[in-house]
Amino acid sequence: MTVTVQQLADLVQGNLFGDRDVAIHSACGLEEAQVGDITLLADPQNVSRLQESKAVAAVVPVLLPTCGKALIQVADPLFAFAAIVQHLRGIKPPPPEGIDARAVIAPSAQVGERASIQPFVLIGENTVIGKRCRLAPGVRIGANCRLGDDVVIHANAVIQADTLIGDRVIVHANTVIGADGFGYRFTRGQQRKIPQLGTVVLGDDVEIGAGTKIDRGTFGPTTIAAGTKIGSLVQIAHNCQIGEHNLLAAQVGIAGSCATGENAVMGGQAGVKDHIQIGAGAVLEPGSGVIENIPARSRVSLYPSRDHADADEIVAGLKELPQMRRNLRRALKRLKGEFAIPAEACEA
Amino acid sequence: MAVTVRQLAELVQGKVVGDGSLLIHAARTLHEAQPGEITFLDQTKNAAKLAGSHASAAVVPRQTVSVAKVLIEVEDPLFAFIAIVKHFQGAAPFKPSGIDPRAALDPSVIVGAEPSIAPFVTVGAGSRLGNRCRLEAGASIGRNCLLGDDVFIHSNAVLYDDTVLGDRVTIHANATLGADGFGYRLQQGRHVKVPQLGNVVVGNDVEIGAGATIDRGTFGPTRIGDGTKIDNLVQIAHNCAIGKHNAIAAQVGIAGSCTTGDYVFMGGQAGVRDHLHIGDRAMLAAKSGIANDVPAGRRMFLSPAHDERDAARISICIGKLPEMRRDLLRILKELDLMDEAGKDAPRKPQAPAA
Repeated sequence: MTVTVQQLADLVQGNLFGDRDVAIHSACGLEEAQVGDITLLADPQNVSRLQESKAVAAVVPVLLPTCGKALIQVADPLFAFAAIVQHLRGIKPPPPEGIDARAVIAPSAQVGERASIQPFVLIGENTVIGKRCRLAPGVRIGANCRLGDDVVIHANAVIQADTLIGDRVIVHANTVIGADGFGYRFTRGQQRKIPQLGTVVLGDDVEIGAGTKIDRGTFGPTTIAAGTKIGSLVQIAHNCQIGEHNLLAAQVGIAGSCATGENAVMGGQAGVKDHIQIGAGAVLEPGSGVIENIPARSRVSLYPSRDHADADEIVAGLKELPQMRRNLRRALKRLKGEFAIPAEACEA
Repeated sequence: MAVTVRQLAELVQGKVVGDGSLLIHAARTLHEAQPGEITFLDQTKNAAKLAGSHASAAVVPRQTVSVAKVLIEVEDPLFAFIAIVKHFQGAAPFKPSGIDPRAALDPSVIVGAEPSIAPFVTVGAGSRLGNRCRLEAGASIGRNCLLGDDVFIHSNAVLYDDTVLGDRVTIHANATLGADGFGYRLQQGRHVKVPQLGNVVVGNDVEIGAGATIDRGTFGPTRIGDGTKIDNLVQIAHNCAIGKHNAIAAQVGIAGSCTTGDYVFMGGQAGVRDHLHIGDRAMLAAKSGIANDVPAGRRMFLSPAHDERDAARISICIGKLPEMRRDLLRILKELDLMDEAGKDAPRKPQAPAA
């Protein structure tokens, strides 16, 4: 598909600078773009990378030296470029509506209109699937679940019994929602399983990455509130209450009965001990390990976690420990001669 | 089944040292092997362990000395032993099973010669499978995927639309390739999804562990280079370009837009921040946390990571912190500042009960 840069500028309602008749064949990132391609410069600081790019045109946030390329200037280059990519590559047809003959739907289950239920999907008794839901091949939905409208569940994800899912939720492949929480009582030399009788509740517009696990509550629900986005390979343990519009990046692990306020952010591989409260707007830097409550709007890093403002100095101090040790010994020697005072005398 | 040491030596093209007519019944590791069985020694320096084994015979590197056991000397004991174990297991060579009628292949799918496609596999429209592909039960291949020859996909692994795999790629159970990258933008208090329009491109001879996830690029591909091996539960985020022959151990996490050179090694649970470059032959230790670019050949430890020399010194000094604290207190005492310092000094730890 070939279009002129003018047509693309019209598509995204951008301001065009340079040759409006340049023919565009495809849209690629800065490094991959070839002659005939349009590319994206989201950050004007990278203008030198645009100059080195072979692209003949670019979507940009502000007017830049054109370097011979046609420029489409828009307020929101990222989404404008995404629209151009979709236009040039063609929107993929949605999966076919209806229930594939190879899916197994319990007689008491209800499937909303225009839903797409693909081969080898299993839906349990009394489960209700909303309108326009898309269940990819191999998805398993247990009994007594309720899915809102426009929910997308990718291949081989497992939704265990009693799970409640809001509207427009996306669950990626191989994710497991509602497996038993990790609860045991040590009795008579054995770890005895505590029955996990609760549920999982996902609010509207939640997205959950591939291979993530959200365990069911012990008695009540484990909750993910509306608008929260969760990355791949995240573990959320039983009885957690994750607030609205949180961002939890890949490989985060949250132990049981934690709660977060709204707009909390956790970087990749952050870990949270059980029964911890994370305040609204708090930020956990990647890899941080939280073992105490985090106040609202604070930013923490390292393990054990501490105020991120101190992190640079702590890390610098760690690197200087060998020098500090030498300095201490030198000072001690100068003052009194080595080992003049026994160590115990100082600890009284 | 019993075979002579000489027969086994012929199987692995090794040289017998000792009684080649000795009968061998099984092949097991040093600790497990019993009399009448054969074991193996990977490195000559571990020869003492061989003396402690009950095995009657051993596959060993050349020039290994052992008086008590019959030896088969070979160039590569590990692979020779694998051949012997397989010989005893007597497994029939794999035969292609064809396409199970319960698999759901779109009519437009092109399948190469000698396929083995198990029940409940799905393959979407426009996808192409190479020769001798093996798809285990429940594997799900999206639309417009391109798989090379001799690809092996285990149960319930998922390839999203547009994924490209080279030849001889193995994907283990429940791995996911091509799920949306974690890209959102905050607009009016809500995280708005940035469409993830790229794909995943995997080179030849790549192995991807069980439950690993490799996200699709935002506009272009997330790439895994030829020969790279990725372990269980690894997460590789969108737009990464992993080089050739990397080895990435379990639970490693690599954030978005990172690049690695060739022959990079990452130990288990290591984490790499977004937009970093890890140079050729760099080594990231287990659990290390990488927050800056790593030059070629550098070995990094700890989180936040330091190079080998600094990390060793820091680790020693962390162990010396109690001593450093005592030194500081002594200095304060010398300077008659002890009263002030004493207020803040933590209590002496309790000595353990005798």
